[in-house]
Amino acid sequence: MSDISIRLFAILRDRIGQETELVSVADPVTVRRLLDALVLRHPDLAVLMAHCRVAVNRKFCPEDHVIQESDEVAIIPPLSGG
Amino acid sequence: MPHLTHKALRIDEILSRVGSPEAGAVCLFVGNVRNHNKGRSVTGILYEAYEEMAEEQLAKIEEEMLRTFPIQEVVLVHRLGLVAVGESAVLVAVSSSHREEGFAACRYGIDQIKERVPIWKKEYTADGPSWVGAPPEGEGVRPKNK
Repeated sequence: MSDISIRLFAILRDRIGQETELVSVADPVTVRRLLDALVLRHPDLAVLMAHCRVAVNRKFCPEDHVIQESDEVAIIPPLSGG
Repeated sequence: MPHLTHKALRIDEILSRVGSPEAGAVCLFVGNVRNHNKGRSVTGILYEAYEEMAEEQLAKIEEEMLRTFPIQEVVLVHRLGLVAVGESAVLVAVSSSHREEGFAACRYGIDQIKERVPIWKKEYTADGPSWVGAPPEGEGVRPKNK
């Protein structure tokens, strides 16, 4: 298992009520597994999470990307800049 | 120069940064906060960013634009914090020898900002604040992670 610290922003931060969340995920920690672990903990956020992307070290990553404990991980809700 | 600011955007300052003796054209896109959205009256918008990543993404988009289009200079800036109706939230300024490439690059710039820069708006209306772009409940299609 790895403990991954996740940064939360905007609607996700408001819904969860904190700026970071620590989740334990079975190795290898893929983006997909991380999302599943978060949804398991917050079932009411399943719909929203289905629309989120994941940034690892400030880059969008695909579902099979493997995350290390030292990585900077953020969940990116649907964007609305501009 | 940072691409994100909590201060009012200065169009004259941005235009002076892209000016160049070789450039016969300057194209500017200005995104303002409007007073309505989807039938509701809007009083202001709060912009929030994942600042470290947004800065990197904006710098990357500028580099791509300089590489892809025959342009001289480009500046992208986005405002954060509470922005009132009528004030500017985003500026894309491009200088080029001729207008066609300027228009094309300008459009590419704003489209890319909307697609991949982690910035979110919270809209303030008479009904209270709400995050823009959040999925309606009951809809759960997962888009491909990019």
